[in-house]
Amino acid sequence: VLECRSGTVEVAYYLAKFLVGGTVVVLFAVVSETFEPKRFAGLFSAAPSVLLASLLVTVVLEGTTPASESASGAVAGAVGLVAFAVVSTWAVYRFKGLVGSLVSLLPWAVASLAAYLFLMGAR
Amino acid sequence: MSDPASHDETSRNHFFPRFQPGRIKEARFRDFAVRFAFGGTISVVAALLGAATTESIGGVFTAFPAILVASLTLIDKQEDQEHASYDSVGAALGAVGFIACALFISLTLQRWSTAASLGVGLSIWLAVSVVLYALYALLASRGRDEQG
Repeated sequence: VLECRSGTVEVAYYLAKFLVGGTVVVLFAVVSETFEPKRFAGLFSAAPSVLLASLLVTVVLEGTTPASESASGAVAGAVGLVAFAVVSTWAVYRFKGLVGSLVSLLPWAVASLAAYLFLMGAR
Repeated sequence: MSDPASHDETSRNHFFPRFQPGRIKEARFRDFAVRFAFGGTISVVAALLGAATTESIGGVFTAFPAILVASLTLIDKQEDQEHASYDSVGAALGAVGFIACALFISLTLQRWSTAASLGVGLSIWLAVSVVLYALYALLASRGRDEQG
């Protein structure tokens, strides 16, 4: 795909990904900030903001076929996200925020990979 | 908190979601800037990985917990670890909703209009997350009552 695009189109594509991704994430963060308690607001920390933003840009610039592929990969990533969040409930308490987050990335990677291999094998 | 008379009321209301638009004034611009940068960056990283490998591998990274890392770190600095841990509980429930949302979109994006597929997908995320939260709140407040 990379070779087919001219330099300008490619820059526009990644710029669109950055701007739309950042904007949708901030929109969800604004909604999250207006809710109490933290446990409920936390739902929005796992909102599919980057997924929706990425798919929107991909559909507009490349069509639904690659976007659909991307969404099926996101299912595996979301399984990893569950693992991350579950482990971080303990890890953030045990360690500091950033270290706790980094520790939780290991289960994210393992669960994402396992789910990805399972989903691709099931096709 | 330790007043026995107010115990029942606080335990019931402890989990009940409250919409407080005024809180947005307390939020700092810098926090939103950090989230914008994290969100934009992970979107680009996912796109680059998708272009270098396959779209589905790029898709895995659209669910990368970058925003959660940003939130947990920001909460940890401002408040305390207990609050960050609370945020993770919500995120775990939201992430289950994310699975349902991504699955739905992957199955409908090529058949439905984009707006319908993404819109219903987002609604599914919200519905699954909120229902799971309600179940969690119910179980947790019962646990508190039994303890109290």
